[in-house]
Amino acid sequence: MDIVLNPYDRKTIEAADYMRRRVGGKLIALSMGPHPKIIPIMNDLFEAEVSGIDEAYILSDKRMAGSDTWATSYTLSKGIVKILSIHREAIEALAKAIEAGEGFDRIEALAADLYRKNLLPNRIYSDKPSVRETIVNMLLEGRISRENAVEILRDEASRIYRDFMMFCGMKTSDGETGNVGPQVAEALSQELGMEIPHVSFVLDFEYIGDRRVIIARRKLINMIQTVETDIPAVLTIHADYSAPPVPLAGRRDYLLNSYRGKNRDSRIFSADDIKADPRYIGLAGSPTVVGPGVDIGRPYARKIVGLSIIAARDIDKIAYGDKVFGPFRRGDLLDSLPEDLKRQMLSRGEAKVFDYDDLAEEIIKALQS
Amino acid sequence: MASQQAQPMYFLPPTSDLESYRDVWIFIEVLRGRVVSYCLEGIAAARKIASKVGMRVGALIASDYVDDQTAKMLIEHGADYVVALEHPLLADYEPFAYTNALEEVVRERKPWALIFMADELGRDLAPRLAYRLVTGLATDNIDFDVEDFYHGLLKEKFSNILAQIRPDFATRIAKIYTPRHRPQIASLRPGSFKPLPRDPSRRGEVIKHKPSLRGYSGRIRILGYEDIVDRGAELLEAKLIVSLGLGILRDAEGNPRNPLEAVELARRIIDLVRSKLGVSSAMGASRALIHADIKELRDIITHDIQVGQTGKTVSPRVYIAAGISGAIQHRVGILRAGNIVSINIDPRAPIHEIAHYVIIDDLYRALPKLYEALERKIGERLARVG
Repeated sequence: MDIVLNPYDRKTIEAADYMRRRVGGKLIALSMGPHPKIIPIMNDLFEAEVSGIDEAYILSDKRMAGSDTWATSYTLSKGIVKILSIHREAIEALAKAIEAGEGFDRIEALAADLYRKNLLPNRIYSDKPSVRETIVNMLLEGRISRENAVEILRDEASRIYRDFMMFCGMKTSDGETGNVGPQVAEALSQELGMEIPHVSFVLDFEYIGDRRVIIARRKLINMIQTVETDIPAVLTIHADYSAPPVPLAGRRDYLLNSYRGKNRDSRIFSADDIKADPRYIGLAGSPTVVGPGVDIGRPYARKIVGLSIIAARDIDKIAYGDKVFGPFRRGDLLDSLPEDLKRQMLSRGEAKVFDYDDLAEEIIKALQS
Repeated sequence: MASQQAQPMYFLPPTSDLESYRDVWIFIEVLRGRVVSYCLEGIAAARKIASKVGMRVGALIASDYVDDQTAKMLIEHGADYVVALEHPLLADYEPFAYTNALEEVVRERKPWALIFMADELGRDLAPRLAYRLVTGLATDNIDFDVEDFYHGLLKEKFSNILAQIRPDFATRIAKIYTPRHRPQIASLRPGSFKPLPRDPSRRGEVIKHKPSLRGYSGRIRILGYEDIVDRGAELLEAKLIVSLGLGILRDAEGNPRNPLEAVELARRIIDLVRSKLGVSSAMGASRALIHADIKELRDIITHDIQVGQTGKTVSPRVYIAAGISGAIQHRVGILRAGNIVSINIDPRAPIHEIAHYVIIDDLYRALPKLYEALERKIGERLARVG
């Protein structure tokens, strides 16, 4: 089977990109599966500038094969924790260098290196001429002390685990379970030791920055429920979602919160890289097992308009050779009778070709029974 | 277990005291204070399972208060007993309070199987609960059975476990088993079972359970509700459905056609049957057509009228599929249709294989002919009657 981008994911990317354009940060694509097949899909996404995806991570390991949604969600949550920890460690490394009294040259070189790797936002370090008020600049210009800088960076580092959102597709186009959004939220809650909300079937949402909440309208049976959720949260995007225009206010914050740019080399993590418990991944980590498939055909008489031969009226038994056929009721399918007998019946007016009028009659009969 | 030690692999640890789990529960949804009616189908499904394993059916319901009439109604529709979770925070559906409450009662009372309806509520709640309970969730089932299952990886046979039957991703129907974990959680597609007739003589216990909701974080707040007009709701009730597929974009010669013409042709048949025969009729669509996102069809061919695995399972007396190839995902949505009429120019289209009536022709020719024949025959019939 070929691996393709899930059609529901287009809406998900649209929603996630809307969030990114509203608040800045970066949009990370996370996928799980054989990386040789996923990398080209990721590359296509990078090519499509509208997707807004800045970086991609792929969890790829033979041991992850055969995962059901439970094992998938566990694995994804470990992947998310790993990605978050990479970002936290980058900021920590910078804080440590400042704390240890490294020279400004070394500090700036380290910051530039981390920035090039897309691990520091513009508000900490930036090569963009329009951004001057970075933490590193303020330190280098003596406007804040080393202690101040370390304190700010430690706060930034801890915020990594609070300031993120996760967007999931409504369901995959193959398995169509839709389980992964809510299950990742639960798995992540356990990994991070905090309750991470999920909201599924989201039709639209807005981020309210001053209260750090998301207000989302979600489909719930025959109603739309509006909920407010704290972040971080996992949103599962409904196929009917469409992103509103991004308000112009807040462009400055957007820039400060954003990163250098796109990083087109997808990073691949194995089960060991993300410190996944081997008991919880792949087929062996899946509570469900898929049994053998079953065919769903059902036998019946099929009438083909313009081809099938049916009884034109009620017919008593018909002797043909040493066999007896019938009796038949008007409309009975005669396709299985010997060709010669059918011809005889047609010429005697006992049989006819099934036509639109016959079909209409049978439809009306079925509707009125 | 010796066989397990011989395995060089790691496995997800099984649920402890696996054998102590009993009974088949169905989660009864309440939305804005009212029981969601198709949950009665779930009671019928739970009955089928319970009768095969000699267990009882428990209807699990959560709200701020569960009144006697509701509990009585659930029992009269086939539940043996009702487990009523009552807490002010359960008045409206929200995943944290509900997951916490259900987790608590499941850990205490240990149901063997737990069935949810596969709608936006069940699909929101069941996954989170199943993850927390470390058990399997088989989604979107259309039927259930109880079977023995040989676990090839573990080389171990499991007797009398739930076979959760759902459309397969490839070509068939798959059975999903949760052999080593309890409860066996599954969701059931609305429309797959018929509710049992109400039997006023049935009696059963109502167990009230006040969950503690320990650790409830309140990180999701409900702000309000809006009604939505689900145009697809009438699909579930309709006796006649005319469904359109990607085939409407081109005629038999391959020339592009304005798909609104096909919509109009379908509507004429629907209106005719509705007005002249007084029979409920509705338009449906295949997923392929909806996903094609055709500009002209916006607001007409919408997700809520999608028939098939991702959309609705329908059970009309007559289902007319025009320009639909009949991918498995579509076919499983119409398995319960009384009569299927397939219209497709391609004689090898899979839809013809499951149809009772086959028209191998361009739908732009076939639909008008069918309309005329229906009009003529309805006229004759009305003339006879009147």
